[in-house]
Amino acid sequence: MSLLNVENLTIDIAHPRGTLHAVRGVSFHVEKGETLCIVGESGCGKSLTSHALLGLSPRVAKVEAGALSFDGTDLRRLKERQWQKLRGLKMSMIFQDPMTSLNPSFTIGSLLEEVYMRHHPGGRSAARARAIEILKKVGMSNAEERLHQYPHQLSGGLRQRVMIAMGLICGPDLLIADEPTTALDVNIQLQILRLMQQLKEEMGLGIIFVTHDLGLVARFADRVAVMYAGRIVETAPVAELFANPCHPYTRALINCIPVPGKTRPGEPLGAIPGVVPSLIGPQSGCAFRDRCAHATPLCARALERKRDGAAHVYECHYTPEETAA
Amino acid sequence: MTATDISPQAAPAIEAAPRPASDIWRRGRRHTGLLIGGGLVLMIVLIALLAPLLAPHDPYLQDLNNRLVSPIWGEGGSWAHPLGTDALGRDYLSRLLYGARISLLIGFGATAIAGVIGTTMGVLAGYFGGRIDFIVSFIVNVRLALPAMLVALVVVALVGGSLNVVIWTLGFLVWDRFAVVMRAATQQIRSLDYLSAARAAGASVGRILLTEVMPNVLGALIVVATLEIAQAILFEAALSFLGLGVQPPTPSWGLMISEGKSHMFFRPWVIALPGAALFILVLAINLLGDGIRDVTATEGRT
Amino acid sequence: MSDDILLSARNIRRDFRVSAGFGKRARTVSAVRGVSLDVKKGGVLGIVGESGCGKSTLAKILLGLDEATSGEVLFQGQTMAGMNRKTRARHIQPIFQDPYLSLNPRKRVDTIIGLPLRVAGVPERDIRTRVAEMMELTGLPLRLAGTFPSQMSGGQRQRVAIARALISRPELVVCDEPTSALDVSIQAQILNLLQDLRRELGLTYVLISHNLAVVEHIATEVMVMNHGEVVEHRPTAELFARPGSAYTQMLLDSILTPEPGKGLPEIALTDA
Repeated sequence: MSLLNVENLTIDIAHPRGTLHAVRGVSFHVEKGETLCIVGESGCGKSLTSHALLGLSPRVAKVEAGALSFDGTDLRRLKERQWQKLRGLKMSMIFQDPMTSLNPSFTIGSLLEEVYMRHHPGGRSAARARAIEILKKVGMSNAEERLHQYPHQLSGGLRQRVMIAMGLICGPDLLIADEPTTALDVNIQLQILRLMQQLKEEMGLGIIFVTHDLGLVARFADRVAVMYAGRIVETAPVAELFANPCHPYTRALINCIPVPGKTRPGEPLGAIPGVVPSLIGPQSGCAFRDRCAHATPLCARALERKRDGAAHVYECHYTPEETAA
Repeated sequence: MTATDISPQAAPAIEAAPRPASDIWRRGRRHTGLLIGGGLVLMIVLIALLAPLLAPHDPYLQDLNNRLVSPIWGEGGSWAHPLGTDALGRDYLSRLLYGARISLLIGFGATAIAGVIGTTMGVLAGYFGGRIDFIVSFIVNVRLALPAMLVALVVVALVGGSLNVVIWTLGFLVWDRFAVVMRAATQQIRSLDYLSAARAAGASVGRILLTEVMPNVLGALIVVATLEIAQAILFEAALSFLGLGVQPPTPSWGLMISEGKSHMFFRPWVIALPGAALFILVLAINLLGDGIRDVTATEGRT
Repeated sequence: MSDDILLSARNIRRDFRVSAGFGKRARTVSAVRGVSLDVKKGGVLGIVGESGCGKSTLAKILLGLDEATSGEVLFQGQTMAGMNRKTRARHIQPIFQDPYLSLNPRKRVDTIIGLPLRVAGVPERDIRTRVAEMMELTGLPLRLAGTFPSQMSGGQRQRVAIARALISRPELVVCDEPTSALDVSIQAQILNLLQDLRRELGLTYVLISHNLAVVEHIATEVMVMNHGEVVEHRPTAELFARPGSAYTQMLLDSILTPEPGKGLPEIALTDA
């Protein structure tokens, strides 16, 4: 059984001009000790999807799913109280901006201890010991001193480590990370990624990593789900995805990024023309067809899921050979 | 296709900053407080403008044979004086209608003066920061340390009360909130890149302040202005009540309350009517200000 | 000085005074410590470095938006210190990182694009035709002329910012992280546009970026900065093939190229 299993997740948001179908039937699963990267551009629904997994959807969003289970628990039936017991203890989330996600009026120590004591009633001294332990684990030097510091006294990289420490202090099974390294320098980004990878290997942590950075995905993911306009258009093990991208969007996305040594300096990059379609009102067919070089009238028809090997699924009316440039 | 359609993440806050005019209009029509406040203010402004046409009598005309006549609903009331007469036999309805002119004139006049002073100081302090900010903050603190009512009383007592004196005195006393709010609003945007872009385009400081900064702090300015109009109106009423504001026989609501206070136990309407007028006007202006703030508020970037 | 140098900076230093709190002595922090550079006409100078290395402060100084504590900036051999702000604006224009912040939200798109011409005193009729020309050149549909920035997508907004920067036909454009706030597919569109415009209009760019892949793609020369100082400054191909310092090597190694087999780069990391 998978650690997390999501089937046919939809998120609708009421909008003055009709319903906004932000996430339209997304299915995926994550295993223990596996990193799933959800990659996509802004507005594709990747953040909404990741927030929904923790019951943190905005109030205006209507979330529905065919199945949404975590470690045998059906998440769809949880009351807010039960969510609170789950969050932090079994699943936790780290956010993009450690500056705004850490309450500036508490010390690092009290932030960490508070999370721990919420789930482990007992003395503060046990919580403190655990806080020191977890700070050491995320590679912070002089953990005891750090406990008395405030978030603003730390650099961006250290703040993000504190966020991760808060996420890991109760030893969760699943960590959901929403672009946690986007605001950081490459060097610090690498440190954070290595830390997460090490924790995954040591603790058997499942990781969902939401990002727009394909380079990061290639180096960090075990499996990849590519999202576009509220759907997962392609999902595959990372090596397979980059070696044999089947969906025209995935391929276009890979061609967009300059790669030293591969793309020719100064030559035009493979830009995707046009903009993301509106998701307000009824949707049909392939959402990418307006920007796809291979689109035909067939693409307006209902989508079909295709398989290319056991773990490689994509949604296109045509085979990769037919849509090869 | 417009960009407002494209970002599901931004959907809860899809009406991004700022709202185009049509959008503000649409929201405004659904804002009850704004509609009530705006309607009442509009009505009172019309009354003030059309007072000569609406008033049944000359507000200054005394008729000592008909003193303190009750309003139409009271004992001995008649349609000749629907709201009765005052202690000098002047028609109360006519005086109330003309009184709206005084209140609005003082409210708008004093606020206009205060707005120019306060906005100039606030925007300059917020934009330049440093020494100018220090000086402006100091002046604001000095102003806040002065008891406004007392200063106004002293000035009016020294110079003598008249409409002009009251307007200018109040104008020079109530600019502090303009300065504080405009300074904060300008500070928020001063480091944004569109100001840098204007600077890099060679625009002068005056041009940047007028065409780039001002449109973005206008919303805050309007809200402060409405609050200050209401405050100035109350200020005038208080001064007039103390006999140091507008001088008799000018029909000012504050003055009418003052003149009526010796009769208030037996003829409560002589103070209740101008009191109610003041209450309605100030309430209406506050509702309007809150409404404007709500419908023009920006929800930040997506 | 040779003719093909458009802009040069000599020994630029920028100190900031940071107050340490009430009653304490203010400290001096140097963001830029003696930087010199030459920008060749028609070239693209990429300036790279981590956040806080002084590259954005340097860009502001080149644009005349900030003043150097010492040192001077020369444009075509003439010192910029005494240059009239309108003359400077005709020669050098900026493109900023975040088009959400670089466009005045209360202004219509055509007003935003026309600003530099309006400041220069160009008659309103000419402004209108040139705005239309510029919109076409930057791939903006003319029907967007009357809309507000909040009604546009991120890519369209950055096109507006580019149109505004180029409308007065400057020789040099300083781009401060022009694509880092954009999605990858939009980044490609904007990079392609910048390349096309450079060829068509004979522009020179200074490109500030933390993204080495972007710099490698666009720049003809690269200057690496660290702690306010120049680490090295060489032609792009040379620098990428044989980095001249451990710091540059570290930056190059930490690029996450989309090569799945390689895993996370094994480099020595400095303490955060």
